[in-house]
Amino acid sequence: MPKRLLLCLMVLLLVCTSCAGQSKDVNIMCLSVYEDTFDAIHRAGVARDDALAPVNCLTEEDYTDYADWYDSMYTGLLTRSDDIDIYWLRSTDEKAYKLLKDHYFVDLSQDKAMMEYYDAMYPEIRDWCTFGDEIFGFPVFIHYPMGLFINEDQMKDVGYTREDIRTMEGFGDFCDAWNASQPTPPIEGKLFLHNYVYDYLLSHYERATGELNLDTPAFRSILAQFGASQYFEYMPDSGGWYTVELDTPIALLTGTPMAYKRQYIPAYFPLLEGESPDTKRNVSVTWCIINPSSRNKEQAFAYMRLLAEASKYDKWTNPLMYRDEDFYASAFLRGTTFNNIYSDEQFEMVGGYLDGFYLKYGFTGYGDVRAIFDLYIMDGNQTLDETIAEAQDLLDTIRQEQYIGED
Amino acid sequence: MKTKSARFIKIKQVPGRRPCRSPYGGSGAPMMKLTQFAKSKPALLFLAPSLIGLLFFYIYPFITGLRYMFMSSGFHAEFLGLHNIMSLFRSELFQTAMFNNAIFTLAVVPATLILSLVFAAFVWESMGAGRFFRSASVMPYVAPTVAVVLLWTLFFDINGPVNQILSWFGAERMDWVGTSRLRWLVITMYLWKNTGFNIILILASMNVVEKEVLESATLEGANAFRRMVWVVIPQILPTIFFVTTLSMVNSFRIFKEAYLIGGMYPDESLYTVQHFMYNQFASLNYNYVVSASVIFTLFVILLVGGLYIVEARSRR
Amino acid sequence: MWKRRVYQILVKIAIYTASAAALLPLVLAMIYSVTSPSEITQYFSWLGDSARPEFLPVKVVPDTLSLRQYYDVLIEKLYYLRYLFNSAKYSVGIVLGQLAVAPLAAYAFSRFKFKFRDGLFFIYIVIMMLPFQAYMLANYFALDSIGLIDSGWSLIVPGIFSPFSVFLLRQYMVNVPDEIMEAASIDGAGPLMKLTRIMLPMVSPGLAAMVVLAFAESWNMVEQPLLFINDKYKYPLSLILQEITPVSMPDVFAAIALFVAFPVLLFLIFNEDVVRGIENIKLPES
Repeated sequence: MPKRLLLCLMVLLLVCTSCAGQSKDVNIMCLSVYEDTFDAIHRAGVARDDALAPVNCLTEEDYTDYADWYDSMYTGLLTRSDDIDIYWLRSTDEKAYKLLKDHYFVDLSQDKAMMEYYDAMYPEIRDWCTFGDEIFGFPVFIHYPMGLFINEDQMKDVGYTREDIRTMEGFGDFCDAWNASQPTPPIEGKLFLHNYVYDYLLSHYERATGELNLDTPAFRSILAQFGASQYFEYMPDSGGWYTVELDTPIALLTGTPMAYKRQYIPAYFPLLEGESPDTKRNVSVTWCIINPSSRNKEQAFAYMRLLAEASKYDKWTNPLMYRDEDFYASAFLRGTTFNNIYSDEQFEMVGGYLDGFYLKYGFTGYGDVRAIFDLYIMDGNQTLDETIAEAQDLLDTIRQEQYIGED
Repeated sequence: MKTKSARFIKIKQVPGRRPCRSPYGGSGAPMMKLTQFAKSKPALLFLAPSLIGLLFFYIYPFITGLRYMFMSSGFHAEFLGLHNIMSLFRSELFQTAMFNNAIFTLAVVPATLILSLVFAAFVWESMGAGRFFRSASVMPYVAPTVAVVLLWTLFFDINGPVNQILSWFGAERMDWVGTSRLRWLVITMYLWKNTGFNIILILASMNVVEKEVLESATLEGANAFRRMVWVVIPQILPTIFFVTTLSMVNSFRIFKEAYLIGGMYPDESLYTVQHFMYNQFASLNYNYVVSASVIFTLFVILLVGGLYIVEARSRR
Repeated sequence: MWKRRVYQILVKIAIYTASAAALLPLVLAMIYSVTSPSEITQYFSWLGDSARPEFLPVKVVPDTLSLRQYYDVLIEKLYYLRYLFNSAKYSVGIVLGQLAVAPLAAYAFSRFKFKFRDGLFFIYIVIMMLPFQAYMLANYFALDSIGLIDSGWSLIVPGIFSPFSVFLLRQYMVNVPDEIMEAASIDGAGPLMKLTRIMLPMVSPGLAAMVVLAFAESWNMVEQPLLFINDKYKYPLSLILQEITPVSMPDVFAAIALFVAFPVLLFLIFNEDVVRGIENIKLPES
């Protein structure tokens, strides 16, 4: 009799634990930064039994500063730890290319639901999420550091068009004209002159050999034009496109404004003296990537689908991800409404602009070299030659370190 | 009746501190051989905290980290065998780094040996000044490096005292800080910090020198130098070997000085294997980090093993 | 005979000169820390200036004395104190931890015979001699696995298990005569009692030496915080001083003086013990 009792107890125990396993919540760890983003998802009323929402899945989102968890993230990825399920990666990250080349991602194209979103995207944006033949991440944030956002109507009020501000001179003229007649500044946010430097660094870096030649006339001319910093006077002190309301007369915005500033369309930064009009501009993307060592891939995929669906919701997304207005209109997160963002004409125009942006990954030493030139632009303590020599030295050493055994 | 243990518990000093007639300082008591050992079981218990800590933080992760050396980086890792180490050696920068390390070691070890021997001899010869000197020479060892970097940079400045002293000998003013001569600054800092340590070691070992031999040498007219070289040194050879080896492994710690002066990407003359390892770690190239650390480890194991052998031989 | 006298005097001079050389940087730092800030700034303004025609002598006697720098560091700008406090936290933590762990292990190595004893001690010596970089990745992974990266504990915990202290103490313990320990056994003392009541008091100079040396080494810590800690606010002063030196030179000297004071004072108190501790460093006899 006691033996049978024991047996029954064991079976009962087994059944209980397996049941518990079934209903156990799976927590996936998603390392990300922007609180608003995921607030939006959750506030959009996604209930746990919604078809899209991962069943029995909670996410732990780490809203703190990148710097806090970034190093742990790299180590965790490389040691194949399953602590992290999803992580965010910026394209300008020094280690971005290495992580992608070493395949620390899960190919999202396996998932049919996800592919719907990618198929609906502008092809350029989709390319920016592709490495080799695989789609490695979902773009949660696309930043156009060399992008201006223009309110053409307001520009027309002072008699200028988009074409007029293609050069720095024209830009200066426009700003003068604006300041003469309007109470508000012509442009919100700093015109990040540093971005010209960053753009040069990123686009001229030879990935195959690690070479980056700084001692060129083009680069020197960029740096020389910042000595005067004559364009700073047009910039208001406050940065922050989020403070600009719909009706504030401000013709130009930098960075990536929220979609509700629908009358702003993207354009390029003014060309510097000597730059060719064909110069493309870099874009930086932040992707959400699934860790290949994760044990909860199903839940991670479900989370990604949720993320993708929420990207149709215009409150927080980049304004220019999907080609078609109908696709935006099909957003069906509970409690959301679709706001008419752009006209058809604008959709097409955006496609044309995207063509002029390119994506370049960061490289080792990018941060240090940036710092050297930032100092030069802000302080100007060293001469141009010294600065370039210092940066070039650093780059050469790094190149020798990184490109071992490859000639 | 007082028990034995009560009597012994009152002893506060290790026997070596008995005042001895040797004027040179140092412990006069010979090392006592342990003739009996207690049972081994409690030993493991005592050893446990230290051993567990070492295993967890040093040994086990080192061993599991070895796989980075043999595998390619990347999620789908492939076995590469020794390819990583080979490409490491092929890299020019790594060769430069090893070269710099070798220069530091080759400069530092003989210098510290000679200086220690010379000053140990001086202390030995002079009675009385020794105590103060011993403490003074160890003081740099306990002083933190960062505190003196600034001052050494001052000394070696182009207008500074080092150049001034050199100009008395007719040399030209040299730029120590801006050129590859920076390594001499680092070497000097390192010597300043560590020589005292070696002097103490050598002084301590000089106690085994038999006084009779010394006295007879003096009677035969040998001067101090002769006495030192022909009488003392042969008898303290094992210690000299020990000090040499110790200096060799300690010369790797030169990274601290090099970093505080030059940063992570210093002038070419200061770039050591340690810099290389830090930077590779930061770029996630763990395979190179592990390869380099394995090289260090093998080197040290060889050295320490050699020490053991020499020690055993000399005791015969 | 007079030759010998002269020789003796020369030797004494050499020794005193060497002592002075050994102490000079520290003494100078102290002197500069009480020199007035303006004098320091002016004096150091010629650093690196190759256009200067003549040499500038090392300023040993300041023109104006001033405690202004200490005031700045201690009262006005509490900036340095935070990092000094960090250094203190880490060093004290390491030393206390070592005091708890190392004597036990040293006791085991010196007084017991067990399988692998010599092999294990060889491993201890090897680890002791390795440069930090050889095991930095190992430490990093271990710390990361328990989530200690970027916290002060990442500096303290691996330092507690440093083999150097075990090595040093073992040398002392080996010197304790057998008879004493045997007598205690006969009197019925167990190993733990033997350790705490007899052995430790007898090797207290060794403990003093260990404390001073371990403190000095951890006070000087540079490589570990570089690797394990990202948050600059947690850095020890040894790293921060190097970063801020170009910016505020006069304050830096006061900070240096304060920083150096701790290990140096500790050393001065346990002077004899530390020197004997170093003398005791030998390889174990097999």
